[in-house]
Amino acid sequence: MSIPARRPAPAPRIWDRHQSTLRVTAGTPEDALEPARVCEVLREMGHRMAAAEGTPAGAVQLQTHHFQPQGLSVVVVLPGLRAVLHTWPEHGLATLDLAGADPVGLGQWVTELAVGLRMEPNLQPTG
Amino acid sequence: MKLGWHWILDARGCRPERIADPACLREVLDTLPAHLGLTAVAPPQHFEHREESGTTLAGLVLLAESHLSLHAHPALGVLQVDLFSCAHFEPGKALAFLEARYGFTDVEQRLLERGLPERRSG
Repeated sequence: MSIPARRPAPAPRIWDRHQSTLRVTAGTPEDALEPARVCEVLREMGHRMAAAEGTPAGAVQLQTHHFQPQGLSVVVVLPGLRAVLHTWPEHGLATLDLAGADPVGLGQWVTELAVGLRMEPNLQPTG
Repeated sequence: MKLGWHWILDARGCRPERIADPACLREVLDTLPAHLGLTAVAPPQHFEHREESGTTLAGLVLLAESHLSLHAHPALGVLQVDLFSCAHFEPGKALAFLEARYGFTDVEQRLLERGLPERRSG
């Protein structure tokens, strides 16, 4: 007689968090950080990452706030991840804040977003 | 170029009934910014992430000054807080506000300066 083997439940863990500052490296800051373009890059990334995880596209939520005369804040929420991007076109900079259950996925976000926005990332992991 | 300050808090030993309470998290997101003299520019977002190892309650509110986010891990009694602001705020005031609600016993805090060093030309 035997008892079925049970896989132990994974230990709970806190989320990883990262902060980065990104600098525009190609074109003008106004073009690189144009709000519609930034939102489209983030939306497309969110859908692609969600698809990779088998998550429906409808699970990707975006919230935006436009500042006057310029600047944009965008929140992207997926299951297990949230990203916040703030842009400062007047300085050619953006900040990206990530939190998620998968630290590897966070690094992938930074890399892919920097490519998508044509910006250079400066990553500061904070655990 | 300095863009602001980012206060990071990891609080352990939170009261079980508060760390698991979505209403507590919502109340913090609704009221902490104004308590610190900061301005919410959009309704707070709340979400819940369930996985085999436990549930994470999370929320975020966009501010005129940047954002405030919370992640609560009931299975661990841990609250993670991020407050990024381009305007002055008092981390000690935020800590007291949160402690009164979550009753944590141990905290680890950091204050980061956000931005990049100026590029030198020539």
